Amino acid sequence: MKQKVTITVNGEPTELWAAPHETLLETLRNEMHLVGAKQGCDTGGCGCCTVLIDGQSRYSCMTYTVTLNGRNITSVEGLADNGELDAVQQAFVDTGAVQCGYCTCGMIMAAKHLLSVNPKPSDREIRKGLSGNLCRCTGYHKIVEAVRVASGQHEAS
Amino acid sequence: MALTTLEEILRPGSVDEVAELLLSHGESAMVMAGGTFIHGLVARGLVTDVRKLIDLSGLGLNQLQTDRKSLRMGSAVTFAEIEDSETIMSSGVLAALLDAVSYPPQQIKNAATVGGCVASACPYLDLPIVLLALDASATAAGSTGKREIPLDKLFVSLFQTSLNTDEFITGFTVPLPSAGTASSFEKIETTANDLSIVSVGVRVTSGWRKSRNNRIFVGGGIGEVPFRCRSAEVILDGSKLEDEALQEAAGAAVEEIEPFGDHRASAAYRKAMTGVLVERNLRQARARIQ
Repeated sequence: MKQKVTITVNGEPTELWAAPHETLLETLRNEMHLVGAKQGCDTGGCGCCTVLIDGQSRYSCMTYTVTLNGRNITSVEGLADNGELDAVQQAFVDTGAVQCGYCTCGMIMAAKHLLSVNPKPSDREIRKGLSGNLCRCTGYHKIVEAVRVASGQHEAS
Repeated sequence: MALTTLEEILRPGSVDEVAELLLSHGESAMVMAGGTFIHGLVARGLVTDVRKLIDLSGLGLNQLQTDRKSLRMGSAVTFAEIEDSETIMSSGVLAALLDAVSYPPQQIKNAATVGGCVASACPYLDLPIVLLALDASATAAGSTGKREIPLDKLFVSLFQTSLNTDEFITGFTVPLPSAGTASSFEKIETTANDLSIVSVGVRVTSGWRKSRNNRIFVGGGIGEVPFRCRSAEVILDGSKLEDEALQEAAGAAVEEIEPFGDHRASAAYRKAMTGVLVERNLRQARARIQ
């Protein structure tokens, strides 16, 4: 039985009907065609499904959509403003912190949360803040650098 | 893997309503807070017959309050809320709570709740070990009212609590002893995404002349429920928490636990690491006494 739920996705209030076992990741990708968040491990370990719920980073693969009535969801598609990339997105581009790209959207969303609570993180805090996100290309060095650049502590080399 | 048997997620607005739903749906219903543990069980094929999930997020059970005698935590308080609590941050008594919630990634901290972590009755999880060491009790609400359950009376066996079918946990009370008490938690795991090999939570009290009311709990691969190392506690009680007493207590803990061996670690390794972790935690807790 589908259940009605009203959520705001990237600023747009959205009313939809979801099966009770439908995850936010499925809703975003299959119903709303927002495919930035990826399905990786599907067990809350790899982080490539990371989105913000009311500003907090969460694994969308382990969140049932029906439980999110009234909540604000931000996916990577909601970051750019009028075609201009968000500072974190731009830093990932400038530092070349992307290899295959599968983890990138999750990394960016985890970094968004980190910088919202800690605008000038140390490298150790960046690594800790991104510990819920895996990069199987092992491109961590550039990713940490990107977050450092996004926080204004370092210029892209 | 999707939980395809699920017919509905119920979103009650009051504690009484939850109890009524549990009573009417019985074993086919399950209470859900952050949903992280349930998701893990579903992914491993361990939950296949749940038809109703009862979402606790609309009950306002996310309050953290302290008075002189105790900390009261609603069951829906998240790990992140524990980590951000200035009361907990400034308390030596409650320091082990911060230790425990420092392990998971931020995405889990933002979702997982203290109530879900305890009600899962999984001996590999961290907060139950800490709350046991802190002498916490759980408040359970059901169709006939509320009752307090000391945490050491809550865990029955693997995934099994002493809660009745119509009961769920609304919160926890953690006593705040007077000055001279502090706690610590540390665990060993193979990878950050795996279950713990051994986890240890302790609380020590320096006392006026002699130490007393010390607690040592071990979890991880040591049995179906967390284990209290009573003979190690006896060594500390009456001591001055000097190095020799801590070492002797760690040795006693190694003797009294009966861990099992599996693909993560042998029983002998678990025993050896329990000794290391008990001593390390006791030293850490002693150093935190304010």
